[in-house]
Amino acid sequence: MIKVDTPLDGVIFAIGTYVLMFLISLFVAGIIWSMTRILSRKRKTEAGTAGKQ
Amino acid sequence: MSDFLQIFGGLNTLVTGSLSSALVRILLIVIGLALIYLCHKKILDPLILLPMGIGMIAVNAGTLLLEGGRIGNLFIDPLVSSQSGIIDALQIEFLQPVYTLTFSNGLIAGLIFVGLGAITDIDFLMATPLSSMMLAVGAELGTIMVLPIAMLWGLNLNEAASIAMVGGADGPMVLYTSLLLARDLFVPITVIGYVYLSLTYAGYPFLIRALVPKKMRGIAMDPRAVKKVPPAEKLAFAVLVVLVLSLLFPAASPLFASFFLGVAIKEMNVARLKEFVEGPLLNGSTFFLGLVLGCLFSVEIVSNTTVFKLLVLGMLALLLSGIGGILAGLLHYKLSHGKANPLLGIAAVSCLPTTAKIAQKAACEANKWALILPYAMGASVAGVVTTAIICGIYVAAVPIFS
Repeated sequence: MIKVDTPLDGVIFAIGTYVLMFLISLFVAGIIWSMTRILSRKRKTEAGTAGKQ
Repeated sequence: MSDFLQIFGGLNTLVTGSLSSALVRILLIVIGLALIYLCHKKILDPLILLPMGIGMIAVNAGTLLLEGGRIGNLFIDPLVSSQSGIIDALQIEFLQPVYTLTFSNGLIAGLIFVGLGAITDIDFLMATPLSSMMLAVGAELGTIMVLPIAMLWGLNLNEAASIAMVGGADGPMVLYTSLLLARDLFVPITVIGYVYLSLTYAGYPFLIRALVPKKMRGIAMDPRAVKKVPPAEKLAFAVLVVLVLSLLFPAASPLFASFFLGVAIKEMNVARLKEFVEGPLLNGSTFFLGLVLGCLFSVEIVSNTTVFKLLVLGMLALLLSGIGGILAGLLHYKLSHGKANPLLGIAAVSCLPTTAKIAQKAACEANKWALILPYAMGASVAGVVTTAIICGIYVAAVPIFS
């Protein structure tokens, strides 16, 4: 197994962590964005149906 | 004279002990007094620092000779590890039950997170998820950069990751990470982390004034421009995020669960639970946290040779995170064609809700009509999420690579 025991290894580990954190943050932002879109579309559809009735 | 002094244990240990130990004790008492004074003057946040200041004074003044000529106090023994030693300490030391049962297992961090979740409004994070998360990514600069710097200064990967977490500006996560990764340095790292986080209230305004022009600081943002998110959506978000993040990082799952449990209680509007977690639970946990931290500030802990390095690295981590946040805020300002206040960047340093309040205060100083707090809270909550992600990565990956 690779060991992180020198400062240079630390730099690589830190960059890797930053990239991973960035990607997961994008993923979380994507979850929020898509969830709000789906739910607001659902709300609009329900409001439309209720209006027709 | 020495027989007479033995009646007054605190004075006796001060006079008869080593000079360096006596000087450190006096210095810590002075720092405790200074903390109380600065809280009284409203320069520092008294919520944690007032009990901490009292604790520091009491523990360093109230040092006495114990069994076998050992010098100690009757507050806490954080270094006790044997089973019989813990039983003795629980029966004798004043704050040992709080320390052993809530502090050294991270429970107090979880309780504070439940309370914080219950007072956090995630409306603005949900309305502007991408910009909030990207501001928070910028504000993690210190959490990342300090890791290799700490390794360069002789700390191992576990210790470096633990002290780097101070840059995430989230006390419970510093506590949790150091508890899991660097148990030997868990007490000093946590104490340093919390002291520095409380000092951001005094320090970050200078950083803001140095890096953000007054004109930009005074940009007003209309909170009505962001549409209201229904509670059901916020509840669904809380459940989904805790599910996803727990699947990815089980080691940090207690923290995710605690924070989003608080959010869920708020959004479901369970009145009795909400009143409990945002009042007695949060206030009680914060109070005991401050008191225990103050009592941990004793000579035995501070005289650890690594503490000086931790003091410097912790400050560097918070400074770099502040700079990273402001740079991300300035980028956000550019991308929004001057509509977004760059102070949102400093709010993304996730010291919830302190940094959001600092951003609002700085905005008001530049323009008394500038209301940015709701947006700043969104960035701050995003900061909690990114810090939790880094905490999860460190806690999961560091043991594999160390």
